[in-house]
Amino acid sequence: MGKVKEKILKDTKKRINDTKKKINNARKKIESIEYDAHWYRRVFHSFGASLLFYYMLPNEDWIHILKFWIPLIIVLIIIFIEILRIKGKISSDHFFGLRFYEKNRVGSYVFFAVAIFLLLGFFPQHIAIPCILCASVGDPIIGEIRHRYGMQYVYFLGFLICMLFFMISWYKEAPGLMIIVAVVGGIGAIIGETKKFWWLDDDFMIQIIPALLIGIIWLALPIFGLSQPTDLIINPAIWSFG
Amino acid sequence: MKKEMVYLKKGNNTEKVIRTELLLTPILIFMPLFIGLLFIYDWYDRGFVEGASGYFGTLLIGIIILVSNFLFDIPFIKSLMEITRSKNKK
Repeated sequence: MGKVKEKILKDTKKRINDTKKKINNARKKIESIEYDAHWYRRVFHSFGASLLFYYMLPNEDWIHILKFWIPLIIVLIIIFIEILRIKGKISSDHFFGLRFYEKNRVGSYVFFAVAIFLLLGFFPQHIAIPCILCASVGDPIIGEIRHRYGMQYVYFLGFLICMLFFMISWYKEAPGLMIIVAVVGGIGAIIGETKKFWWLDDDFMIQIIPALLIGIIWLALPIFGLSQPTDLIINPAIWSFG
Repeated sequence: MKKEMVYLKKGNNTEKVIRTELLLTPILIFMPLFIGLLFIYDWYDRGFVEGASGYFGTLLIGIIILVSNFLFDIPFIKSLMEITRSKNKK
């Protein structure tokens, strides 16, 4: 009788240990996917900076037409795919790194793409370049600071990083103007990053709010007797055939 | 972590989403590196060699693209290698 009891006890212990092992393995797997999705989103953001290549495309007539139509078609395809996902025609399983709040809402990558399209198509380089850098480089760095060190450092460090992008883009202008633009742009980017709405993503706001603020300064420059910047930051390539 | 910030779990479809991720990885990693280097080359070719200071902005943007991508690429590749290794172990 004692031996049977002992055997049952031994078996139960073994089963408990096996179950514990399985739970631990499952937890590890979920955590690694969580960690992977985290870095995937960061890499996706920083990839956005490479779209500045747009400004390097030559200004030949036919390329000039494509420079408007190709980004527009890409954005429309992205919106179309997203509509299909929200309606359930395409499974969310194909979209890696989506957050819980994006399940029944437009994904942040759509806002990111639309904002970049608006900046490339309708704003001058001096406004578009720093705003795209704020979203593609500033935003993930701000996210990491928030993730590792907490909220208290986010505003100040994020402001400095975004300010730097505006200073780089306006370095050829008068120092006073460069500082005003950098401060206004930095504040706009931080407002855009920290104010989140369910229907409007921060990936859109971090680009469009500073763009609109600097756009006002841009339009006001002639009123104060100053000229708008004309020197390009990224110059189009020149194609020579033979 | 707030509930809404949690990533959508894919249940038993992990393999499918990782495949989607692997498919995009070469573009996400190599394109920014190529563009960053191209910007730096443009500064060197049209700015430094020709003695034109107007290309300094292109150099800085090229460096920003390269550094920021290295910063995020390394942990991403590490996590990808880990997940692939654990998948192969199964």
